[in-house]
Amino acid sequence: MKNQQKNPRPPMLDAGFQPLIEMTGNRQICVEGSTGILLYEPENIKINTTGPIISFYGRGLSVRCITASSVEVFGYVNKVEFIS
Amino acid sequence: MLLKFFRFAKGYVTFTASGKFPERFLNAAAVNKLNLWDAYPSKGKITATMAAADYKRARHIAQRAGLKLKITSKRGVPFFVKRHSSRLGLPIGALLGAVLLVVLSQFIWTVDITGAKTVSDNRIREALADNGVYPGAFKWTIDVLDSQRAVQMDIDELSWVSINNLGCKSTADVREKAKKSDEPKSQSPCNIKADCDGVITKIIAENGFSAVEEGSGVKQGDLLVSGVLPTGQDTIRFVRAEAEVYADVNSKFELKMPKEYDYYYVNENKTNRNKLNFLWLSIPASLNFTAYPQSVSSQNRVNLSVNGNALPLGITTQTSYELRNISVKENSEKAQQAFEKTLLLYEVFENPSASVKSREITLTEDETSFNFTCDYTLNRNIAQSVEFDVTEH
Repeated sequence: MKNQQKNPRPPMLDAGFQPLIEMTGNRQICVEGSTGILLYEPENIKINTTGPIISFYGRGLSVRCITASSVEVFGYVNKVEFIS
Repeated sequence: MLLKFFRFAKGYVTFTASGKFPERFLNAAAVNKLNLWDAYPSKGKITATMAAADYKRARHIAQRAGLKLKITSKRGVPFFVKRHSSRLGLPIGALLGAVLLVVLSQFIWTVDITGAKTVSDNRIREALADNGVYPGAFKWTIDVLDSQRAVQMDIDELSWVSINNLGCKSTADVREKAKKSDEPKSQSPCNIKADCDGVITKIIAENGFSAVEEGSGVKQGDLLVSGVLPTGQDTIRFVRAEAEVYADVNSKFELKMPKEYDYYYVNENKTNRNKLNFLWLSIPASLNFTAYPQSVSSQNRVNLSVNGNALPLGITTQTSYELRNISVKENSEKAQQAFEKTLLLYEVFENPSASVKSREITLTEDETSFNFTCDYTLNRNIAQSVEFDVTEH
């Protein structure tokens, strides 16, 4: 208990059920904590997450890999929108 | 790359999912743990790829999501096998090929020899074959150490033999014995004596005391140049006599030639027979049954090679030449011409350093042969070094 008080958990992990978004430039995005794809078009991909809905705008967008809790998006991303 | 290989090995299908809200299919596939890749959207449909084994499940999911799936391409080993399942020869051929490869790799295909300079490759090859190293030998029965030792014993001129079996190729690396250098010139005192009877014509004495003069006759073993030199103080000194002593010596050469003899010569008729060689097998490959009562033959073996590596497959061509036999009768004139040619050879090869002073040919003949005798007078060096023990004096 003393140790936990001395070294509190980093604030990032305190985000609870918030999704983890990892971007490599504007070409590759990995969303962990997704609950499904709401819209799938080459210019717009909307991903439902445990938090807000995330909308990616751009061109040539595609889902390279999808599992029950994560989605990997490839393409040229111009804009990211959080819809809550 | 590895992932692509495994996907290809398991087989995969590319399909399009069309209908309302095709993204529902992606979500449903993810929830049902279906692995999808290369999912590209287009108007009202999605093109994606998945493992062939998962496709049946995917169709049920798509039906539930109100979508229709359509396969656009099938790739991978399972589809290839299914497509060619009616061609039984393919798997049998592949299996036989694999078996053949495994069986043939247990044998020596070629034997290479390196490092031989004066000893012929054929001689080494024969010695290797006698000791179990030959094309077609079962690799695992070769006792390399024993074979090395035996080949070295068989060929005296070799000082070192190493046999390396690498794959189906056996390489024999050999080293030849270094030739013995000439024995150092003896420094012990010696006399020069005559090696045959003759009349001295010239003496070139470099060291020693000349015991004969030009014009004097000597017998075999007579002292020509002495290695015992008197000094001014009534003592003697022993030296190694060195001299060239030329003398006219008599020599005789005899030859008996039959008056009638059989002579064989190669006729223009010849027959080629081919044999197919595979490892140790030799299969006749031509139907030529011509046989000559008397013949000589030569063999030429050619092996197939790929990238400089000889294969155990080749063709041996055996050529037989017909020998004709004629009976030759010689007259004395022809016999004498032949004898004179023989004399020339005798002079050049038997007495190369001698000069011929006179030559007298005598011919006698009996019923069956000509008997030639040639009496020579040759001028040659008759000096012979004979060492002596100083305690004799």
